[in-house]
Amino acid sequence: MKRRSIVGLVLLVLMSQACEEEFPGGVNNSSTGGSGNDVWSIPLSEVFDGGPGKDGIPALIEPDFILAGDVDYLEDDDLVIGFVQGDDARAYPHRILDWHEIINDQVGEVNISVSYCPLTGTGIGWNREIDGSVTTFGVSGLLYNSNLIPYDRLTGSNWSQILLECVNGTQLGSAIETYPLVETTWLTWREMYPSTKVVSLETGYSRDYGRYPYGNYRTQHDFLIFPVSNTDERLSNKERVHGILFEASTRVYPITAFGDSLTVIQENTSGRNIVIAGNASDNFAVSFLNTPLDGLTLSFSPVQDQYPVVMTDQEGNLWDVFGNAVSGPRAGTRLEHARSFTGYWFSFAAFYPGLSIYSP
Amino acid sequence: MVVYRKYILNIYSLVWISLLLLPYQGYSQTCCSGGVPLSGNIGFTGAETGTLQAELSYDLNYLVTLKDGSEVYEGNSRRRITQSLLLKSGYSISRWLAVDALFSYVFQERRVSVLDQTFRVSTRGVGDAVILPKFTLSNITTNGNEIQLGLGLKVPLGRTDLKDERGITLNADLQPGSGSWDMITWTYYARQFMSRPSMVVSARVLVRFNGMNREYLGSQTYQFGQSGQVYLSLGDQLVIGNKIFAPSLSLRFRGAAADRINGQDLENTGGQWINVIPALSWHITQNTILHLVPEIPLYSKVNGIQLTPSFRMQMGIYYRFGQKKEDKSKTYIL
Repeated sequence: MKRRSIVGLVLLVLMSQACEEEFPGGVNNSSTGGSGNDVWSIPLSEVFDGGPGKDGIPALIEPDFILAGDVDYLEDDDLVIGFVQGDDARAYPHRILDWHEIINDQVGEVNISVSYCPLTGTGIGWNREIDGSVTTFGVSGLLYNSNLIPYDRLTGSNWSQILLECVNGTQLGSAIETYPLVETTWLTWREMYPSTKVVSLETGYSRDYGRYPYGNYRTQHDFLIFPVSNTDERLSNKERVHGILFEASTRVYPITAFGDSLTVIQENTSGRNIVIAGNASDNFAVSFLNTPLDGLTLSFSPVQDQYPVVMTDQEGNLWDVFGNAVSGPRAGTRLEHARSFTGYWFSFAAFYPGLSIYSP
Repeated sequence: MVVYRKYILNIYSLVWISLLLLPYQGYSQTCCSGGVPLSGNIGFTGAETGTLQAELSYDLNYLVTLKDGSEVYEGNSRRRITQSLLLKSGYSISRWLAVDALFSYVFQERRVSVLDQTFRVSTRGVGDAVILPKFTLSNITTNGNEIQLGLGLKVPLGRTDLKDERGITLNADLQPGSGSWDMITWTYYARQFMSRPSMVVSARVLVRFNGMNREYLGSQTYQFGQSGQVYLSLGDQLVIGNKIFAPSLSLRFRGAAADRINGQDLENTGGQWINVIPALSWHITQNTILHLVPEIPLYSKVNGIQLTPSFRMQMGIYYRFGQKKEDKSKTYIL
């Protein structure tokens, strides 16, 4: 009896061994929609699968909008990402972007893709025309330095949101054209553009847009879900900063550094004159290249309580939050946007080690 | 007395059949409940000294229901499918002491269908294993009550670093292993009906204390949520023609805390589930049993938004080595 039992036990062990040899651990991908290009410009060992999978987080395509007066789902201090084209002002609330991450929209003649990564807090507007063809961006389900990697549905190429370039696929190395956005509170945006449209909750998806889907992630500074390649303890991880990407360096401006009234900062950094306007209470900052106009370098000062106007200069021009001269001798002129966006401090530190921090 | 002894033997069989028919998951994974059914599958009942019990089964866990709390979201485009081959064995060292072991091989698949395209990623590999020593405090053949206690260990044999074909490390949800050593407590109680000795009511409680994977994604820590399960079951034996069948009906309650990454709760993991399990086994021979165990969700409330099991099914074959010949004529006679 004992001998038979022992033989049986041995057989079981052998069967488990056989299983291991017959089916070695492995992975199969099919219909990945990728370009088939194995080359990545970022370290593949630092790219991670986020969990939901490719398009597991559904990007929106030309969603419905409602008027500001009909919006009842936003609190005054909720953050929105604003875009203006002509007279058409649109707000893309974090409450919706937290669940969809990308909104592909058409505003007038502009085909824009507003991407927002909830893990890095970065919102950026992309031109969704590639090689002359309009496409949409989707959520690849991959993360690099905890940051969203969108993919374009035209070529299947993967793009790094924060690097602003294609990191894998046929578009490898191509830079993305960005559109200027303003990320601020719903109250401030509404004050700037009272007739703004806002993305409707009727997105075609059932989601609880009243709930933030990442728990205490926004406020727990030491809580990162995915590894990052570099950390920097000079600021708290989740502190919101406005970062400007120069060719040779990166500089960030903590939103809190702007104080509770509109503040204008003018600096020469990396050989470029920069002007940054921001307000900590209204939770925003915008930045422009202060390139000499007709040989004259403008000197800016803040304008209080006249949103969307935020600055004036020695010529008496009034400049709005998108850098448009709305009155004065240079009316109709537009300041060139700095290559910049706002996000959590840790994400800038991860992507741009050695960056500098503005201090008042 | 002879008749009573026959019933006792039937009850003895029914107790381990009731356990056979109660496999189920105790393994929550991030983002959904598509984990490998380990702890719920462990635990044969006691058998005669020197008896070796073995079972090979196939388990399918199909997750397509997207829930936010207890609300079902329509129009879900995601699927998670976990298929497991489970090899369970148990050896009775004595009438009061036995050791069970469970080995797994896991196939996991994730599908997302959007804009007429389906994106699919699948993994396969040896999963984790469980070893469970058990002590029988009361034997049903003695007084109509069976009480067992067990304290087991889940051994992290499965890999946690599988990559996709591009070389990208996959999420914990798609890994065949958990990367942690876990402790499992196992408590089982069964009582026969004196008015119908072939019928047994039973309860089983499993608690899992999960350890930590300290090498998740290279530098992170990951800990699956602590979980507990309670099974309440009623089983009987029926003779149809010259065949013996053992139907049972069970309720399974399962609760799991949120998973933790780097010591922080991970949103959209954990929850509570109540399922009903109508199961049936067929005694092909005295020592060979086929079983079919579907599991149907009755209620669930998940933390945050998660894919949750829509249907689950297990089928398998059980064989018992070392059964004494003189018992053959007495077992399975109703």
